[in-house]
Amino acid sequence: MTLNSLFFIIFSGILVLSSIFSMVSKRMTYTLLWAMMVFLMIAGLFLLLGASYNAMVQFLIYVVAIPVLIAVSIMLINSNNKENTFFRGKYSLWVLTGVFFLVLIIGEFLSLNNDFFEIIKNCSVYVNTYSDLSSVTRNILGVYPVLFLEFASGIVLTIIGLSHYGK
Amino acid sequence: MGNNIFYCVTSYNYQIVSLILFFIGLLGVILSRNLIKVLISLEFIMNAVNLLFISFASYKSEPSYLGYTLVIFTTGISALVLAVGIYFAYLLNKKFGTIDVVKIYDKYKETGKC
Repeated sequence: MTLNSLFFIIFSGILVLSSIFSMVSKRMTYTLLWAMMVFLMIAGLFLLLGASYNAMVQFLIYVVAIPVLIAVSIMLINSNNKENTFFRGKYSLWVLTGVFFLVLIIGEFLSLNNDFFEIIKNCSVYVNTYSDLSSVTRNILGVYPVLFLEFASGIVLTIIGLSHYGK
Repeated sequence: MGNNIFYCVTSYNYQIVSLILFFIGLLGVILSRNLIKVLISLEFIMNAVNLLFISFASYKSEPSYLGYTLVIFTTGISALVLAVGIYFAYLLNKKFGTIDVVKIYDKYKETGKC
């Protein structure tokens, strides 16, 4: 099994499961968190396909910007006004957060080796690299884009959690 | 061996994942009663189409940036659609006191005006 296949199976499996959980969840906050997981996994699939700039745009818009918008709208519309059990007795949130940061940390270590994009292109089918715009991304975010993404996603998760907890 | 997913991921595998995500989003649009959940399902559908575009662009034999560029535009437009939809949901909540689409429709039938 190549690393490309392994990551594809992990990303697509988490994507499908998260989308089902997002639709099944009764609370809007859980729906939002699972939807964030779906968008993050799609960004990972973009990265596997060689579209790193699209992955960055996907992350910044769908995992950072839009969840803040939806979280504020949930607060304004008050559609989640059951008793506050967001941090109590629910293990799914912690599992979700753990998987989220585990994936990011693994990605960070792989990207620090600089062989990540070479390793995932072991496939015999020709994969078109998006080298021009990925160099733009590296110029904007420096050599450690995943650290930036970790920081940004931590801030978003904290904002969502605190906004719900403070209700 | 060449078509085995454990050996090599092809465009066909991405099409299957995109199709699954598309139909989950479609089911969410049809079955959900919460308006915000309907909007999130719409985002699932748009992301499925984006994934399809990127997979087609990546597995093309000659380099082409059309699919990548198109996905950037559709990402921005879908974010815009979501923002406008959330504003409408806020207005509907202000007017009817709920964002349950069935209750909104019932109240609309009772009052006869929006």
